[in-house]
Amino acid sequence: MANLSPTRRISLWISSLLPSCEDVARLVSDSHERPLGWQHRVTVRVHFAVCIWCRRYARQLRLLSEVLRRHTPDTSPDSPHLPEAARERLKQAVRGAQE
Amino acid sequence: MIGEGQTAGSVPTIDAERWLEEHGDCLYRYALMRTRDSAVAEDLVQETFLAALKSKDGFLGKSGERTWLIAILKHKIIDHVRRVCRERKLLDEQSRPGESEEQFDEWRHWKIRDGFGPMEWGVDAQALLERKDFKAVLERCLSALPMRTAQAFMLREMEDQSAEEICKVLDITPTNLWVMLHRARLRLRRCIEINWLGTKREG
Repeated sequence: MANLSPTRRISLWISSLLPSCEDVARLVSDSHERPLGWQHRVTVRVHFAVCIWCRRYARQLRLLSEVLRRHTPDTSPDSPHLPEAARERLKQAVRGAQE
Repeated sequence: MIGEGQTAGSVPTIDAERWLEEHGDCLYRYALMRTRDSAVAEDLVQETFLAALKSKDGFLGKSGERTWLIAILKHKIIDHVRRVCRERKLLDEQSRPGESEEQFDEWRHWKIRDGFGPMEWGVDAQALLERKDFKAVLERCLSALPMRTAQAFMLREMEDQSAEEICKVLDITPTNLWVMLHRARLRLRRCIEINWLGTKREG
């Protein structure tokens, strides 16, 4: 950073205000992991103002987060069952442990 | 019905066998989804029952039984993942470039014309959770993620482990983890949109 010319710095700063959707998607994901710095928060805000796709992306990630936290295994009949052989082995193991 | 096991001085044998009847499948599915290996999942369920028998003091009553057993199973799964990572058995699949990046064009914006831009879902979490078909799609999409990415993602989002803990378990740096989680989210969101919303709209 120290060796950059002032013009280069300014152009870097401007491009940081005009981020791509891919950058914003990454920042949105990161915001689930750590607090973003103020520059990044501004970047995301500015981008959201003009990009409905990234707004939806952020909303859907929050939704998925909530769904996953509350998720319990699928219990429909065609979901996998503990195989009979394993069930039998387990029964023996449990009995063995109690003797 | 085997309810007698609950009376005073209950015989432990009856408890454990009833657990197996009532929670065996659930625990097995839980472990299978996270390990993708039926033999490993069976072993983890067995270890869980054995550990539960030893520590029946932690037992919270019949209503909390499954939660209690799953809590024990979670620890067993994390131990297993840690072991596998330490032995380097869980190879970091080379994430093929284009897997998640294919959703963006050369300007790194969503490929809207090719249908990669996030659509309006118009649902909330409760509505999603109540739909059986959604659960099946969610589980299928999770199992389509690369193994290590899926492990990181599930530990983070489903087991609510701290980043620090996950990095220790998977033996990766925080930056690695953030990249993995980012890819997982991109791919999972996309997979759900195609497979669930897609079919719903056509149907």
